[in-house]
Amino acid sequence: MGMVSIGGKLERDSGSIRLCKVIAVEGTDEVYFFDALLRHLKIADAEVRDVGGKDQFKSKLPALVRMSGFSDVRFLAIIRDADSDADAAFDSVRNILRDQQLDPPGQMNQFSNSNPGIGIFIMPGNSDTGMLEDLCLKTVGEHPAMECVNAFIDCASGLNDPPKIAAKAKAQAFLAAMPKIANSVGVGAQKGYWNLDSDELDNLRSFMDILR
Amino acid sequence: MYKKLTIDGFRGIKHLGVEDFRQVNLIVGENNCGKTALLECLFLLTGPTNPQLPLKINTLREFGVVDENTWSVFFNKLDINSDIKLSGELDKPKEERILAIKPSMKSATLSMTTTDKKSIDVGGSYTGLSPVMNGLILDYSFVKGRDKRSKKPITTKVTATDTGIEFETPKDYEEALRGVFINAKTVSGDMGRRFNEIQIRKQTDRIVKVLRQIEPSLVDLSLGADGIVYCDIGLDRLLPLNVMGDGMFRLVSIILAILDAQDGIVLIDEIENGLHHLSQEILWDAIFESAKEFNVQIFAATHSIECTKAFSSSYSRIGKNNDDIRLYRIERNGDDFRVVSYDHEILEASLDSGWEVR
Repeated sequence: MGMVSIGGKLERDSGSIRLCKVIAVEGTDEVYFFDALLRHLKIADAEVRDVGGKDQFKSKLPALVRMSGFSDVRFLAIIRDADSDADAAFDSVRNILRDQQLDPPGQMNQFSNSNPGIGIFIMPGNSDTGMLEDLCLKTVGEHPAMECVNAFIDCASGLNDPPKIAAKAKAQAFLAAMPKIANSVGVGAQKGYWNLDSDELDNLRSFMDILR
Repeated sequence: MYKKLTIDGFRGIKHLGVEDFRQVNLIVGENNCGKTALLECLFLLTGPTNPQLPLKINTLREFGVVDENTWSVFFNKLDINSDIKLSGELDKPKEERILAIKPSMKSATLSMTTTDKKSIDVGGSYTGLSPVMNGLILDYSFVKGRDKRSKKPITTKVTATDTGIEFETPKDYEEALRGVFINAKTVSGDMGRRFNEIQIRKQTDRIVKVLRQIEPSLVDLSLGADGIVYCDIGLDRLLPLNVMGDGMFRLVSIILAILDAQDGIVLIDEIENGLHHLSQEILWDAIFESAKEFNVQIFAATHSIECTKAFSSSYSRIGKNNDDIRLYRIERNGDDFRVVSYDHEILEASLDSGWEVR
Protein backbone atom coordinates (compact mmCIF):
# COMPACT_ATOMS: atom_id res chain seq x y z
CA MET A 1 0.00 0.00 0.00
CA GLY A 2 1.34 3.43 -0.93
CA MET A 3 0.81 6.73 0.78
CA VAL A 4 -2.26 8.83 0.17
CA SER A 5 -3.22 12.29 1.35
CA ILE A 6 -6.69 12.37 2.89
CA GLY A 7 -7.96 15.80 3.84
CA GLY A 8 -4.44 17.20 4.19
CA LYS A 9 -3.12 14.25 6.17
CA LEU A 10 -0.67 11.66 4.87
CA GLU A 11 -1.57 8.05 5.60
CA ARG A 12 -1.33 4.51 4.29
CA ASP A 13 -3.82 3.92 1.50
CA SER A 14 -6.90 2.03 2.69
CA GLY A 15 -7.75 1.19 -0.93
CA SER A 16 -11.06 3.06 -1.11
CA ILE A 17 -11.92 6.64 -2.04
CA ARG A 18 -13.24 8.48 0.98
CA LEU A 19 -13.60 12.12 -0.10
CA CYS A 20 -15.59 13.72 -2.90
CA LYS A 21 -12.62 15.53 -4.49
CA VAL A 22 -9.73 13.50 -5.84
CA ILE A 23 -6.38 14.67 -7.17
CA ALA A 24 -4.58 12.07 -9.27
CA VAL A 25 -0.83 12.60 -9.48
CA GLU A 26 2.20 10.91 -11.03
CA GLY A 27 4.04 9.52 -8.03
CA THR A 28 4.59 9.44 -4.28
CA ASP A 29 6.64 12.64 -4.39
CA GLU A 30 3.68 14.45 -5.96
CA VAL A 31 1.38 13.05 -3.25
CA TYR A 32 3.63 14.69 -0.64
CA PHE A 33 3.78 17.98 -2.59
CA PHE A 34 0.02 18.27 -3.09
CA ASP A 35 -0.65 17.19 0.46
CA ALA A 36 1.37 20.22 1.60
CA LEU A 37 -0.26 22.48 -1.00
CA LEU A 38 -3.81 21.43 0.00
CA ARG A 39 -3.05 22.18 3.63
CA HIS A 40 -1.60 25.54 2.59
CA LEU A 41 -4.72 26.32 0.54
CA LYS A 42 -6.94 25.10 3.39
CA ILE A 43 -8.72 22.55 1.19
CA ALA A 44 -9.77 19.87 3.64
CA ASP A 45 -12.13 17.66 1.63
CA ALA A 46 -9.80 16.40 -1.09
CA GLU A 47 -7.59 13.35 -1.35
CA VAL A 48 -4.42 12.90 -3.39
CA ARG A 49 -3.71 9.57 -5.06
CA ASP A 50 -0.71 8.24 -6.92
CA VAL A 51 -1.61 6.86 -10.35
CA GLY A 52 1.99 6.10 -11.27
CA GLY A 53 4.20 7.60 -13.93
CA LYS A 54 3.04 8.48 -17.41
CA ASP A 55 3.50 4.90 -18.61
CA GLN A 56 1.09 3.66 -15.95
CA PHE A 57 -1.59 6.30 -16.51
CA LYS A 58 -3.22 4.16 -19.17
CA SER A 59 -4.13 1.42 -16.72
CA LYS A 60 -4.05 3.21 -13.35
CA LEU A 61 -6.35 6.08 -14.27
CA PRO A 62 -9.07 3.60 -15.38
CA ALA A 63 -8.38 1.67 -12.17
CA LEU A 64 -8.82 4.85 -10.14
CA VAL A 65 -12.21 5.66 -11.64
CA ARG A 66 -13.36 2.14 -10.77
CA MET A 67 -12.32 2.34 -7.14
CA SER A 68 -14.89 1.74 -4.50
CA GLY A 69 -16.23 5.20 -3.57
CA PHE A 70 -15.55 6.87 -6.93
CA SER A 71 -19.27 7.12 -7.70
CA ASP A 72 -19.49 9.82 -4.99
CA VAL A 73 -16.62 11.88 -6.40
CA ARG A 74 -17.66 15.36 -7.63
CA PHE A 75 -14.29 16.61 -8.89
CA LEU A 76 -11.32 14.75 -10.30
CA ALA A 77 -8.15 16.76 -10.87
CA ILE A 78 -5.43 15.05 -12.88
CA ILE A 79 -1.92 16.44 -12.64
CA ARG A 80 0.68 15.36 -15.17
CA ASP A 81 4.10 16.60 -16.17
CA ALA A 82 4.42 18.14 -19.62
CA ASP A 83 7.81 16.42 -20.00
CA SER A 84 8.81 17.27 -23.58
CA ASP A 85 5.35 18.11 -24.97
CA ALA A 86 2.48 19.59 -22.92
CA ASP A 87 -0.10 19.17 -25.72
CA ALA A 88 0.79 15.51 -26.17
CA ALA A 89 0.51 14.94 -22.40
CA PHE A 90 -2.89 16.67 -22.34
CA ASP A 91 -4.20 14.72 -25.34
CA SER A 92 -2.97 11.46 -23.87
CA VAL A 93 -4.93 12.01 -20.63
CA ARG A 94 -8.01 13.15 -22.57
CA ASN A 95 -7.95 9.98 -24.66
CA ILE A 96 -7.73 7.79 -21.58
CA LEU A 97 -10.71 9.61 -20.06
CA ARG A 98 -12.75 9.27 -23.24
CA ASP A 99 -12.05 5.54 -23.31
CA GLN A 100 -13.61 5.41 -19.85
CA GLN A 101 -16.72 7.27 -21.04
CA LEU A 102 -15.68 10.28 -18.97
CA ASP A 103 -15.99 13.83 -20.25
CA PRO A 104 -12.55 15.46 -20.43
CA PRO A 105 -12.10 19.25 -20.30
CA GLY A 106 -11.67 21.09 -23.62
CA GLN A 107 -8.56 22.91 -22.47
CA MET A 108 -5.69 22.13 -20.17
CA ASN A 109 -5.65 23.60 -16.67
CA GLN A 110 -9.45 23.77 -16.69
CA PHE A 111 -12.34 21.59 -15.50
CA SER A 112 -15.15 20.12 -17.57
CA ASN A 113 -18.75 20.91 -16.66
CA SER A 114 -19.56 17.23 -16.32
CA ASN A 115 -20.29 15.12 -13.29
CA PRO A 116 -17.75 14.52 -11.95
CA GLY A 117 -16.05 17.72 -13.07
CA ILE A 118 -12.70 16.70 -14.52
CA GLY A 119 -9.68 18.96 -14.76
CA ILE A 120 -6.26 18.29 -16.27
CA PHE A 121 -3.27 20.38 -15.16
CA ILE A 122 -0.09 19.93 -17.12
CA MET A 123 2.99 20.78 -15.05
CA PRO A 124 4.63 23.19 -14.76
CA GLY A 125 1.65 25.12 -16.23
CA ASN A 126 1.82 27.60 -19.10
CA SER A 127 4.83 25.86 -20.59
CA ASP A 128 5.34 23.37 -23.40
CA THR A 129 7.87 21.38 -21.44
CA GLY A 130 8.83 20.65 -17.87
CA MET A 131 7.72 19.05 -14.65
CA LEU A 132 6.90 19.62 -10.98
CA GLU A 133 10.57 20.37 -10.21
CA ASP A 134 10.51 23.30 -12.66
CA LEU A 135 7.53 24.80 -10.90
CA CYS A 136 9.05 24.31 -7.45
CA LEU A 137 12.28 25.97 -8.54
CA LYS A 138 10.38 28.97 -9.94
CA THR A 139 8.84 29.57 -6.52
CA VAL A 140 12.29 30.02 -4.97
CA GLY A 141 13.91 31.97 -7.83
CA GLU A 142 14.84 34.79 -5.48
CA HIS A 143 16.06 32.56 -2.65
CA PRO A 144 19.69 33.23 -1.62
CA ALA A 145 20.45 29.51 -1.92
CA MET A 146 19.83 29.71 -5.67
CA GLU A 147 23.22 31.38 -6.11
CA CYS A 148 24.88 28.25 -4.71
CA VAL A 149 22.58 26.03 -6.76
CA ASN A 150 23.38 27.84 -10.03
CA ALA A 151 27.10 27.68 -9.32
CA PHE A 152 26.82 23.94 -8.61
CA ILE A 153 24.80 23.28 -11.77
CA ASP A 154 27.22 25.35 -13.86
CA CYS A 155 30.02 23.21 -12.55
CA ALA A 156 28.14 19.92 -13.01
CA SER A 157 27.10 20.79 -16.57
CA GLY A 158 30.75 20.93 -17.55
CA LEU A 159 31.26 17.27 -16.63
CA ASN A 160 31.72 14.64 -19.34
CA ASP A 161 28.48 12.99 -18.28
CA PRO A 162 26.37 15.82 -16.83
CA PRO A 163 22.93 15.42 -15.15
CA LYS A 164 20.38 14.43 -17.81
CA ILE A 165 17.41 16.23 -16.28
CA ALA A 166 18.59 19.65 -15.24
CA ALA A 167 15.44 20.56 -13.27
CA LYS A 168 15.71 17.44 -11.10
CA ALA A 169 19.41 18.06 -10.44
CA LYS A 170 18.74 21.71 -9.62
CA ALA A 171 15.87 20.86 -7.26
CA GLN A 172 18.07 18.29 -5.49
CA ALA A 173 20.85 20.85 -5.18
CA PHE A 174 18.44 23.42 -3.75
CA LEU A 175 17.11 20.94 -1.20
CA ALA A 176 20.69 19.98 -0.31
CA ALA A 177 21.27 23.63 0.61
CA MET A 178 18.40 23.61 3.10
CA PRO A 179 18.90 23.28 6.88
CA LYS A 180 17.43 19.78 7.16
CA ILE A 181 17.70 16.95 4.67
CA ALA A 182 14.84 16.69 2.20
CA ASN A 183 15.56 14.08 -0.45
CA SER A 184 12.69 14.92 -2.79
CA VAL A 185 10.55 17.88 -3.85
CA GLY A 186 7.57 16.40 -2.02
CA VAL A 187 9.44 16.15 1.25
CA GLY A 188 10.77 19.65 0.54
CA ALA A 189 7.17 20.87 0.31
CA GLN A 190 6.34 19.14 3.60
CA LYS A 191 9.25 20.99 5.23
CA GLY A 192 8.14 24.30 3.76
CA TYR A 193 11.18 24.80 1.50
CA TRP A 194 9.17 25.84 -1.56
CA ASN A 195 7.35 29.15 -1.50
CA LEU A 196 3.71 28.11 -1.82
CA ASP A 197 2.65 31.79 -1.80
CA SER A 198 4.73 32.54 -4.89
CA ASP A 199 3.02 34.19 -7.89
CA GLU A 200 4.54 31.38 -9.94
CA LEU A 201 1.83 29.11 -8.49
CA ASP A 202 -1.02 31.40 -9.63
CA ASN A 203 -2.01 29.04 -12.46
CA LEU A 204 -2.02 26.00 -10.23
CA ARG A 205 -3.86 27.80 -7.43
CA SER A 206 -6.45 29.08 -9.87
CA PHE A 207 -6.90 25.52 -11.25
CA MET A 208 -7.41 24.24 -7.74
CA ASP A 209 -9.86 26.97 -6.78
CA ILE A 210 -12.75 24.77 -7.87
CA LEU A 211 -11.78 22.31 -5.14
CA ARG A 212 -12.30 24.87 -2.39
CA MET B 1 -21.85 -17.44 -24.67
CA TYR B 2 -23.71 -14.76 -22.72
CA LYS B 3 -22.70 -11.20 -23.58
CA LYS B 4 -25.32 -9.25 -21.69
CA LEU B 5 -27.82 -9.70 -18.87
CA THR B 6 -30.64 -7.46 -17.70
CA ILE B 7 -32.55 -8.17 -14.50
CA ASP B 8 -35.78 -6.48 -13.50
CA GLY B 9 -37.64 -7.17 -10.29
CA PHE B 10 -35.85 -10.34 -9.19
CA ARG B 11 -35.27 -10.90 -5.44
CA GLY B 12 -33.47 -7.79 -4.06
CA ILE B 13 -32.71 -6.40 -7.51
CA LYS B 14 -35.03 -3.73 -8.88
CA HIS B 15 -32.97 -3.23 -12.02
CA LEU B 16 -29.49 -4.34 -12.98
CA GLY B 17 -27.74 -4.55 -16.33
CA VAL B 18 -24.39 -6.18 -17.02
CA GLU B 19 -22.67 -6.02 -20.39
CA ASP B 20 -19.57 -7.37 -22.03
CA PHE B 21 -19.42 -10.78 -20.38
CA ARG B 22 -16.36 -12.82 -21.31
CA GLN B 23 -15.51 -16.48 -21.08
CA VAL B 24 -14.62 -16.33 -17.39
CA ASN B 25 -16.42 -13.78 -15.23
CA LEU B 26 -15.83 -13.11 -11.54
CA ILE B 27 -18.54 -11.27 -9.62
CA VAL B 28 -17.62 -9.41 -6.43
CA GLY B 29 -19.37 -6.97 -4.13
CA GLU B 30 -20.49 -6.44 -0.59
CA ASN B 31 -22.99 -8.68 1.16
CA ASN B 32 -26.53 -8.44 -0.16
CA CYS B 33 -25.53 -6.64 -3.35
CA GLY B 34 -27.06 -9.32 -5.59
CA LYS B 35 -24.13 -11.55 -6.57
CA THR B 36 -25.99 -14.80 -5.96
CA ALA B 37 -29.19 -13.39 -7.49
CA LEU B 38 -27.23 -12.57 -10.66
CA LEU B 39 -25.99 -16.16 -10.87
CA GLU B 40 -29.53 -17.42 -10.26
CA CYS B 41 -30.88 -15.27 -13.09
CA LEU B 42 -28.33 -16.71 -15.51
CA PHE B 43 -29.29 -20.18 -14.31
CA LEU B 44 -33.00 -19.50 -14.90
CA LEU B 45 -32.30 -18.02 -18.34
CA THR B 46 -30.24 -21.06 -19.25
CA GLY B 47 -33.07 -23.42 -18.38
CA PRO B 48 -36.02 -21.11 -19.06
CA THR B 49 -38.49 -23.90 -19.81
CA ASN B 50 -37.60 -25.95 -16.76
CA PRO B 51 -40.14 -25.01 -14.09
CA GLN B 52 -38.18 -26.90 -11.44
CA LEU B 53 -35.37 -24.35 -11.46
CA PRO B 54 -37.03 -21.68 -9.28
CA LEU B 55 -37.47 -24.22 -6.51
CA LYS B 56 -33.97 -25.54 -7.08
CA ILE B 57 -32.38 -22.12 -6.57
CA ASN B 58 -34.39 -21.67 -3.39
CA THR B 59 -33.11 -25.04 -2.20
CA LEU B 60 -29.53 -23.97 -2.96
CA ARG B 61 -30.18 -21.11 -0.56
CA GLU B 62 -31.31 -23.70 1.96
CA PHE B 63 -34.91 -22.60 1.57
CA GLY B 64 -36.38 -25.85 0.40
CA VAL B 65 -39.82 -25.65 1.93
CA VAL B 66 -42.84 -25.07 -0.27
CA ASP B 67 -45.53 -23.07 1.45
CA GLU B 68 -47.34 -19.79 0.93
CA ASN B 69 -44.04 -17.88 1.36
CA THR B 70 -42.16 -19.84 -1.28
CA TRP B 71 -43.36 -17.95 -4.32
CA SER B 72 -43.20 -14.33 -3.29
CA VAL B 73 -39.48 -14.47 -2.41
CA PHE B 74 -38.61 -14.34 -6.10
CA PHE B 75 -40.27 -10.93 -6.49
CA ASN B 76 -38.57 -7.65 -5.64
CA LYS B 77 -39.78 -6.49 -2.24
CA LEU B 78 -42.15 -9.49 -2.29
CA ASP B 79 -44.38 -7.49 -4.65
CA ILE B 80 -46.07 -10.13 -6.78
CA ASN B 81 -47.88 -7.44 -8.75
CA SER B 82 -44.72 -6.46 -10.59
CA ASP B 83 -43.49 -9.21 -12.88
CA ILE B 84 -39.92 -10.42 -13.04
CA LYS B 85 -38.20 -9.95 -16.36
CA LEU B 86 -34.83 -11.44 -17.18
CA SER B 87 -33.18 -10.99 -20.53
CA GLY B 88 -29.90 -12.25 -21.85
CA GLU B 89 -28.02 -11.78 -25.09
CA LEU B 90 -25.77 -14.52 -26.36
CA ASP B 91 -23.41 -14.79 -29.29
CA LYS B 92 -21.96 -17.69 -31.20
CA PRO B 93 -24.74 -18.42 -31.98
CA LYS B 94 -26.50 -15.08 -31.63
CA GLU B 95 -29.60 -15.32 -29.51
CA GLU B 96 -31.74 -13.20 -27.25
CA ARG B 97 -33.61 -14.82 -24.37
CA ILE B 98 -36.38 -13.23 -22.38
CA LEU B 99 -37.94 -14.87 -19.37
CA ALA B 100 -40.93 -13.28 -17.68
CA ILE B 101 -41.96 -14.76 -14.36
CA LYS B 102 -45.46 -14.10 -13.10
CA PRO B 103 -47.43 -15.29 -10.14
CA SER B 104 -49.85 -18.14 -10.62
CA MET B 105 -52.99 -17.35 -8.66
CA LYS B 106 -55.87 -19.49 -7.61
CA SER B 107 -59.19 -18.37 -6.23
CA ALA B 108 -59.47 -18.93 -2.54
CA THR B 109 -62.30 -21.24 -1.69
CA LEU B 110 -63.59 -22.16 1.70
CA SER B 111 -65.13 -25.43 2.50
CA MET B 112 -66.97 -25.01 5.74
CA THR B 113 -69.14 -27.05 7.98
CA THR B 114 -72.34 -25.67 9.39
CA THR B 115 -70.59 -25.09 12.68
CA ASP B 116 -67.78 -23.13 10.92
CA LYS B 117 -70.31 -20.92 9.19
CA LYS B 118 -71.85 -19.99 12.46
CA SER B 119 -68.50 -19.01 13.91
CA ILE B 120 -67.57 -16.61 11.08
CA ASP B 121 -68.61 -13.05 11.67
CA VAL B 122 -68.07 -11.19 8.41
CA GLY B 123 -69.51 -7.97 9.81
CA GLY B 124 -69.74 -4.83 7.72
CA SER B 125 -66.14 -4.79 6.59
CA TYR B 126 -66.13 -8.06 4.73
CA THR B 127 -65.05 -7.59 1.10
CA GLY B 128 -64.48 -11.10 -0.11
CA LEU B 129 -61.54 -13.50 -0.28
CA SER B 130 -58.31 -12.57 -2.07
CA PRO B 131 -56.84 -14.90 -4.68
CA VAL B 132 -53.95 -16.91 -3.34
CA MET B 133 -50.58 -17.32 -5.05
CA ASN B 134 -49.86 -20.97 -5.56
CA GLY B 135 -46.96 -20.98 -7.97
CA LEU B 136 -45.15 -19.35 -10.85
CA ILE B 137 -45.82 -18.96 -14.55
CA LEU B 138 -42.69 -18.77 -16.69
CA ASP B 139 -43.11 -17.16 -20.13
CA TYR B 140 -40.06 -17.69 -22.28
CA SER B 141 -39.51 -16.01 -25.62
CA PHE B 142 -36.40 -15.92 -27.74
CA VAL B 143 -34.98 -14.59 -30.97
CA LYS B 144 -32.33 -16.62 -32.73
CA GLY B 145 -29.78 -15.61 -35.33
CA ARG B 146 -30.89 -12.86 -37.66
CA ASP B 147 -34.60 -13.28 -36.96
CA LYS B 148 -36.23 -10.03 -36.02
CA ARG B 149 -39.27 -11.52 -34.37
CA SER B 150 -39.39 -13.78 -31.40
CA LYS B 151 -40.95 -17.17 -31.63
CA LYS B 152 -44.25 -17.79 -29.91
CA PRO B 153 -43.62 -17.65 -26.14
CA ILE B 154 -43.28 -20.96 -24.37
CA THR B 155 -45.16 -21.08 -21.11
CA THR B 156 -44.29 -23.38 -18.27
CA LYS B 157 -45.71 -23.51 -14.81
CA VAL B 158 -44.94 -24.71 -11.34
CA THR B 159 -47.78 -24.88 -8.84
CA ALA B 160 -48.39 -26.25 -5.40
CA THR B 161 -51.47 -28.42 -5.18
CA ASP B 162 -53.07 -30.30 -2.34
CA THR B 163 -51.15 -33.38 -3.40
CA GLY B 164 -47.73 -31.88 -4.05
CA ILE B 165 -45.90 -29.81 -6.66
CA GLU B 166 -47.03 -29.89 -10.27
CA PHE B 167 -44.78 -28.93 -13.16
CA GLU B 168 -46.18 -28.09 -16.58
CA THR B 169 -43.42 -28.46 -19.14
CA PRO B 170 -43.51 -27.82 -22.89
CA LYS B 171 -43.94 -30.84 -25.15
CA ASP B 172 -42.14 -29.58 -28.21
CA TYR B 173 -39.14 -27.65 -26.94
CA GLU B 174 -35.80 -29.01 -25.91
CA GLU B 175 -33.18 -26.72 -24.38
CA ALA B 176 -29.79 -27.01 -26.03
CA LEU B 177 -27.81 -24.85 -23.63
CA ARG B 178 -26.42 -26.63 -20.58
CA GLY B 179 -26.05 -24.93 -17.23
CA VAL B 180 -24.64 -26.16 -13.92
CA PHE B 181 -24.95 -24.25 -10.62
CA ILE B 182 -22.53 -25.01 -7.81
CA ASN B 183 -22.56 -23.29 -4.45
CA ALA B 184 -20.67 -23.68 -1.22
CA LYS B 185 -23.15 -26.23 0.08
CA THR B 186 -23.34 -28.27 -3.09
CA VAL B 187 -22.01 -31.68 -2.27
CA SER B 188 -21.70 -34.78 -4.28
CA GLY B 189 -25.13 -34.50 -5.95
CA ASP B 190 -24.20 -35.37 -9.50
CA MET B 191 -20.56 -36.14 -8.86
CA GLY B 192 -20.79 -39.89 -9.49
CA ARG B 193 -22.64 -39.44 -12.77
CA ARG B 194 -20.31 -36.68 -13.91
CA PHE B 195 -17.21 -38.65 -12.98
CA ASN B 196 -18.56 -41.64 -14.88
CA GLU B 197 -18.89 -39.45 -17.98
CA ILE B 198 -15.30 -38.33 -17.57
CA GLN B 199 -14.11 -41.93 -17.19
CA ILE B 200 -15.91 -42.90 -20.37
CA ARG B 201 -14.27 -39.99 -22.17
CA LYS B 202 -10.90 -41.20 -20.80
CA GLN B 203 -10.22 -37.83 -19.21
CA THR B 204 -9.61 -38.95 -15.63
CA ASP B 205 -5.91 -38.19 -16.02
CA ARG B 206 -6.65 -34.51 -16.50
CA ILE B 207 -8.30 -34.27 -13.10
CA VAL B 208 -5.60 -36.35 -11.43
CA LYS B 209 -2.96 -34.02 -12.85
CA VAL B 210 -4.67 -30.96 -11.34
CA LEU B 211 -5.27 -32.64 -7.98
CA ARG B 212 -1.64 -33.75 -7.70
CA GLN B 213 -0.75 -30.09 -7.22
CA ILE B 214 -2.65 -30.27 -3.92
CA GLU B 215 -2.05 -33.95 -3.05
CA PRO B 216 1.24 -35.09 -4.64
CA SER B 217 0.71 -38.70 -3.52
CA LEU B 218 -2.44 -39.07 -5.64
CA VAL B 219 -1.98 -41.89 -8.16
CA ASP B 220 -5.44 -42.29 -9.63
CA LEU B 221 -9.16 -41.72 -9.21
CA SER B 222 -11.90 -44.27 -9.76
CA LEU B 223 -15.64 -44.53 -9.37
CA GLY B 224 -17.04 -47.06 -6.92
CA ALA B 225 -20.24 -49.01 -7.50
CA ASP B 226 -21.68 -46.90 -4.68
CA GLY B 227 -21.32 -43.76 -6.81
CA ILE B 228 -18.46 -42.44 -4.69
CA VAL B 229 -15.23 -41.22 -6.27
CA TYR B 230 -12.23 -42.97 -4.69
CA CYS B 231 -8.62 -41.81 -4.50
CA ASP B 232 -5.55 -44.03 -4.83
CA ILE B 233 -2.81 -42.39 -2.79
CA GLY B 234 -0.55 -45.44 -2.70
CA LEU B 235 -2.14 -47.09 0.35
CA ASP B 236 -3.49 -50.65 0.54
CA ARG B 237 -7.03 -49.38 0.10
CA LEU B 238 -8.64 -46.59 -1.85
CA LEU B 239 -9.91 -43.58 0.08
CA PRO B 240 -13.20 -41.86 -0.66
CA LEU B 241 -12.62 -38.40 -2.16
CA ASN B 242 -14.99 -37.03 0.49
CA VAL B 243 -12.40 -37.64 3.22
CA MET B 244 -9.53 -36.06 1.33
CA GLY B 245 -10.35 -32.53 2.45
CA ASP B 246 -12.68 -29.79 1.30
CA GLY B 247 -10.20 -28.37 -1.19
CA MET B 248 -9.82 -31.59 -3.21
CA PHE B 249 -13.54 -32.20 -3.13
CA ARG B 250 -14.37 -28.67 -4.22
CA LEU B 251 -11.79 -28.72 -6.98
CA VAL B 252 -13.11 -31.99 -8.38
CA SER B 253 -16.72 -30.84 -8.24
CA ILE B 254 -15.90 -27.66 -10.16
CA ILE B 255 -13.77 -29.35 -12.81
CA LEU B 256 -16.35 -32.10 -13.30
CA ALA B 257 -19.07 -29.48 -13.70
CA ILE B 258 -17.08 -27.71 -16.42
CA LEU B 259 -16.37 -30.91 -18.29
CA ASP B 260 -20.03 -31.89 -17.97
CA ALA B 261 -21.35 -28.52 -19.18
CA GLN B 262 -19.54 -28.60 -22.52
CA ASP B 263 -20.65 -25.64 -24.70
CA GLY B 264 -22.74 -24.33 -21.82
CA ILE B 265 -22.28 -22.34 -18.64
CA VAL B 266 -21.14 -23.09 -15.10
CA LEU B 267 -22.18 -20.85 -12.20
CA ILE B 268 -20.13 -21.07 -9.02
CA ASP B 269 -21.18 -19.19 -5.90
CA GLU B 270 -18.57 -18.56 -3.20
CA ILE B 271 -15.93 -20.12 -5.39
CA GLU B 272 -13.20 -19.72 -2.78
CA ASN B 273 -15.07 -21.86 -0.28
CA GLY B 274 -13.06 -24.76 1.10
CA LEU B 275 -9.86 -23.79 -0.68
CA HIS B 276 -6.67 -22.59 0.98
CA HIS B 277 -5.51 -19.39 -0.69
CA LEU B 278 -2.46 -21.20 -2.08
CA SER B 279 -4.78 -23.65 -3.85
CA GLN B 280 -6.88 -20.96 -5.45
CA GLU B 281 -4.41 -20.33 -8.23
CA ILE B 282 -4.44 -24.06 -8.99
CA LEU B 283 -8.23 -23.86 -9.23
CA TRP B 284 -8.15 -20.86 -11.57
CA ASP B 285 -5.49 -22.50 -13.75
CA ALA B 286 -7.77 -25.51 -14.10
CA ILE B 287 -10.82 -23.33 -14.77
CA PHE B 288 -9.13 -21.23 -17.48
CA GLU B 289 -7.76 -24.28 -19.22
CA SER B 290 -10.88 -26.43 -19.08
CA ALA B 291 -13.26 -23.54 -19.86
CA LYS B 292 -11.31 -22.91 -23.04
CA GLU B 293 -11.04 -26.55 -24.02
CA PHE B 294 -14.68 -27.40 -23.36
CA ASN B 295 -16.08 -24.07 -24.54
CA VAL B 296 -17.74 -23.35 -21.22
CA GLN B 297 -18.57 -19.89 -19.94
CA ILE B 298 -17.90 -19.43 -16.23
CA PHE B 299 -19.63 -17.08 -13.81
CA ALA B 300 -18.23 -17.18 -10.29
CA ALA B 301 -18.84 -15.06 -7.21
CA THR B 302 -16.49 -14.41 -4.34
CA HIS B 303 -15.84 -12.21 -1.31
CA SER B 304 -12.20 -13.18 -1.10
CA ILE B 305 -9.33 -10.88 -2.10
CA GLU B 306 -6.98 -13.90 -2.23
CA CYS B 307 -9.33 -15.52 -4.71
CA THR B 308 -9.46 -12.31 -6.76
CA LYS B 309 -5.67 -12.03 -6.78
CA ALA B 310 -5.36 -15.69 -7.77
CA PHE B 311 -7.88 -15.09 -10.59
CA SER B 312 -5.71 -12.28 -11.94
CA SER B 313 -2.29 -13.85 -11.46
CA SER B 314 -3.37 -17.18 -12.92
CA TYR B 315 -4.68 -15.39 -16.00
CA SER B 316 -1.43 -13.41 -16.26
CA ARG B 317 0.42 -16.70 -16.62
CA ILE B 318 -1.88 -18.67 -18.87
CA GLY B 319 -4.34 -16.18 -20.37
CA LYS B 320 -2.33 -15.36 -23.50
CA ASN B 321 -3.77 -11.83 -23.55
CA ASN B 322 -7.00 -12.88 -25.23
CA ASP B 323 -9.01 -10.42 -23.14
CA ASP B 324 -11.41 -13.17 -22.14
CA ILE B 325 -11.88 -12.46 -18.44
CA ARG B 326 -13.79 -9.78 -16.59
CA LEU B 327 -14.30 -8.89 -12.96
CA TYR B 328 -17.56 -7.16 -12.08
CA ARG B 329 -18.20 -5.38 -8.82
CA ILE B 330 -21.87 -4.85 -8.02
CA GLU B 331 -22.44 -1.70 -6.00
CA ARG B 332 -25.75 -1.21 -4.29
CA ASN B 333 -27.10 2.04 -2.93
CA GLY B 334 -30.64 1.37 -1.74
CA ASP B 335 -32.62 0.40 -4.84
CA ASP B 336 -29.89 1.56 -7.21
CA PHE B 337 -27.48 -0.99 -8.58
CA ARG B 338 -24.31 -0.17 -10.46
CA VAL B 339 -21.85 -2.52 -12.07
CA VAL B 340 -18.16 -1.66 -12.34
CA SER B 341 -16.23 -3.86 -14.74
CA TYR B 342 -12.50 -4.57 -14.85
CA ASP B 343 -10.56 -6.09 -17.68
CA HIS B 344 -7.37 -7.93 -16.77
CA GLU B 345 -5.03 -4.96 -17.29
CA ILE B 346 -7.10 -2.65 -15.10
CA LEU B 347 -7.59 -5.36 -12.49
CA GLU B 348 -3.81 -5.88 -12.33
CA ALA B 349 -3.26 -2.12 -12.02
CA SER B 350 -5.79 -1.96 -9.17
CA LEU B 351 -4.30 -4.90 -7.31
CA ASP B 352 -0.80 -3.49 -7.84
CA SER B 353 -1.89 -0.24 -6.16
CA GLY B 354 -3.66 -2.10 -3.36
CA TRP B 355 -6.96 -0.51 -4.38
CA GLU B 356 -10.10 -2.30 -3.29
CA VAL B 357 -11.83 -4.04 -6.18
CA ARG B 358 -14.38 -6.04 -4.17
